[in-house]
Amino acid sequence: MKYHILIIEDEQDTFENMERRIHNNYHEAKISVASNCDLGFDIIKQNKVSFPVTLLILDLTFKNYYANQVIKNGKQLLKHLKINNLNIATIIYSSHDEMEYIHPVINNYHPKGYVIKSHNSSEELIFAIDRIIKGDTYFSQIVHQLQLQRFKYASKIDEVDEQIINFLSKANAIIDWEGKIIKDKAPLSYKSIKKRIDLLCDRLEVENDKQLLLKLQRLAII
Amino acid sequence: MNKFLFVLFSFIVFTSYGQLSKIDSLKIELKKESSKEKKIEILESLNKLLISHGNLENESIPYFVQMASLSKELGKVNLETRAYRYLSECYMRKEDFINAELLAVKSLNINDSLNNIENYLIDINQLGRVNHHFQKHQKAIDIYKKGIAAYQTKPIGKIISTIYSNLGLTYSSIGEKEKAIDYYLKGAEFAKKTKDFLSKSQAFYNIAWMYMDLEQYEKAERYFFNALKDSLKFELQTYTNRNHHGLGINYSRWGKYDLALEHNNIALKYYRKTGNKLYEFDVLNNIAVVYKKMNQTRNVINFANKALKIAEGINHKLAINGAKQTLSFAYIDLGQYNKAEKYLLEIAKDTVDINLISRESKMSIYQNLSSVYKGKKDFKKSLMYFTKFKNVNDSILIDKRDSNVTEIETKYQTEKKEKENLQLIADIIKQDLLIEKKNRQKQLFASLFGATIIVILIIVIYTRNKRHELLYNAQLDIARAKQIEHQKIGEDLHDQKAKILEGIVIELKKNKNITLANKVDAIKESIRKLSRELSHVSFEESEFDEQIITLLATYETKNFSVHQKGLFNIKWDTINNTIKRNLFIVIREGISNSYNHSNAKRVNLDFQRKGKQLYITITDDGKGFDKNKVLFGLGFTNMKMRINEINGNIKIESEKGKGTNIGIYLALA
Repeated sequence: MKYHILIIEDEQDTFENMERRIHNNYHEAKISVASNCDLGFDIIKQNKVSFPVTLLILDLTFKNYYANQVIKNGKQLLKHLKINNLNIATIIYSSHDEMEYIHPVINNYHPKGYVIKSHNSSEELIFAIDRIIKGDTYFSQIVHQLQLQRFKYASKIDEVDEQIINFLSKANAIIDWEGKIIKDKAPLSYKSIKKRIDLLCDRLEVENDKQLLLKLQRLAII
Repeated sequence: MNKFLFVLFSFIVFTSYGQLSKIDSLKIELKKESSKEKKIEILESLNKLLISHGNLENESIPYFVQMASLSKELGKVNLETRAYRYLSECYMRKEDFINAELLAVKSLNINDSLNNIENYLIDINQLGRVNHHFQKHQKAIDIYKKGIAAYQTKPIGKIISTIYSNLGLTYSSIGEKEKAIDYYLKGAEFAKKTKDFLSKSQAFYNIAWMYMDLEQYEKAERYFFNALKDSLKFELQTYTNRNHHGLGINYSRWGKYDLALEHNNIALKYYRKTGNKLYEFDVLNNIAVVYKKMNQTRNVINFANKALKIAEGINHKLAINGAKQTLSFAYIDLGQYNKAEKYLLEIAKDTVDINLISRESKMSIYQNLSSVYKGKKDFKKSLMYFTKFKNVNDSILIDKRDSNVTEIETKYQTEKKEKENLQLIADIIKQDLLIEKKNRQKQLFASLFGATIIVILIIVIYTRNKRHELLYNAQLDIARAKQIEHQKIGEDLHDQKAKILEGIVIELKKNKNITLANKVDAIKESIRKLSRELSHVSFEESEFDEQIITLLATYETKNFSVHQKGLFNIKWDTINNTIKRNLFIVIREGISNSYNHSNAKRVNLDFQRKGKQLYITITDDGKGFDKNKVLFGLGFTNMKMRINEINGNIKIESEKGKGTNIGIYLALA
């Protein structure tokens, strides 16, 4: 048993489907399911020593309310985990595709993945699980789009900055930048590029381009 | 003797060299002037100076006469009567009773007929003084009392205090000291009322003399000092020095010779400077008397000779005799009997047969003559004068015995008067205390009243604020309850109704009923949109400003952008969540309207906070609308309602083709 995957999802159809699919892909994984956040949090705590949860697949909204409910929704669970220093790789699996929903979740809790739930999103979820188990991140395309859009607006970055951000993951050395960034139809010198990278680093409160890349990935901007 | 001199010359005499030159220049000016009007003006000021200067010799009389005739001609009654008074004063000085009285009466009659009470009283005073001067005491008293009665019917002018004082003076002249003090005090009282420190000083000065005569030197000293103090207030040196003069005499009688010399010397210096010969004589004589009492015979002769020289210079009989008498005392002491005899006989001629001269003076002359002849070993003459002395002395002793009872009575009355005065002062103090107490009570009451008002005000303000706060919070509570309700509906729509519809869409698509599927899908989308609008806005994870940025970022497209200003200048974490929620929704609605309906390309969103007030404006450059034609849609109504819910106001302004402007004002407490 290599992995312990916890699904917190209130719709029975959905979580049964997910459980089956995950099991098919990861035979050796232990799969736990909770239909609400309180139960999910209990599972996390109970297995903290014996077999800690390695991946959490979390819905954000829960339609059923019950008495003495403590953790009412996915965001609250994320908050609880943060407060209790329970650092678990998480994939948000939610039908909320609005920026006002996505942005605070990513910015505050830094989930490893965000998959927009729809009637045909289970394939994408399996793909996301795969990526995240490998130590990568995965966000649905719309999440990327929205996060980039917000970042662009909030940080007032222009097209040149956008080119730099997009190229950041492909550049390993200074020479890689050569002729890649175009401003006013002319390639930008590395000196100018570096200046812009430094400004971006300042804005995102990181020290260098490697950290900048990581942060941008973590925030689903790229 | 001294007293007699003062009674005689109590009229104000003071001189200054500056005034003298002014008098001369005015005289020249008068000669040159031809206009009668101008002449009378010059005469008015010239004569005033002449009077105040004490220059009442024969040469001044023509000016007074000229003033009288000119003013009569010009019909200036006031000046005319004043001229008569001046002339009356001149004749009085010249010892011409008939003219002095005549002119005073003339002025009096004119003012009486004109019913000019103020001038009438001045005339009364003058007439009284004239009668007093010529020792017609009873007549003077009647005149003064007539004036007082007139004043009581119509109290005008300041002269009344002088009238009272002069009445006191007259009474003192006929030996009625009790009455004299009484009237002096009245004079002082009126003077105090009218703040006429000159008259007050004069009255105190006179009282001092009374007490000096009664041998109550301590009281006399006190009144002299009071008079001195008042005289300093009007800065007329004559008055000041007169009091030094008086104090000199008082100390001399009291036996305090050093002080007597000190004050006499001050007065002497002044009189020498101002050239007032009679006063200078009197002071010199006083000094001589003091030295006699101190047995410094040489000094006595020295000063008495100086005094005699001055007395002879002004040819004043009484003064000459006074000096000679002092000299004779000294020569007797020195054993120079011939000189003493010469002076004594010279005095006796003018003295012994005149009733005016007091028995004491006569007695002293007889005694001295007796001593002189005894010294010259002419015992017959000595015996003769001694017998005369003894006779006078006996008559005095008999009188004294008779008057002893009266004297005691007088003393008793004086004491009584003093006590009454003290009682009066005590009463006044008591009254003052009572008034002060009342005032303090009033103040206390006023402060209490003020304090009560303040407390009531504080309570009213507090209650109002409290009520305002309660209303404010109640309003917010309602808004919050609504928000919670909306949230529940929103969540239900999103989590259940939209999902059900999604399932239906999938089913329909499976059955190839695409048209219906699309319709249902559209409904689902609009429900999701509605649910989004109703969904709960929380500031737990993301502060207001972050959420606004998120909101604005969602609208950011190539053809539409929203620019915010001042958003990060406001500390949003200090603002109530309910307010922020409604505000957020309204801003979202406003921008949504611009985006969806106005064809705007740019929206400006401005935030401004001033103390407890928050101003937000949303302006777009869209096509706008005609407020009169376009009925406010549900959007605007909702916005208005939401802002009102959080104690705010909203104003939406638009004109066709000129964009839309939404102004939001919020009270934060």
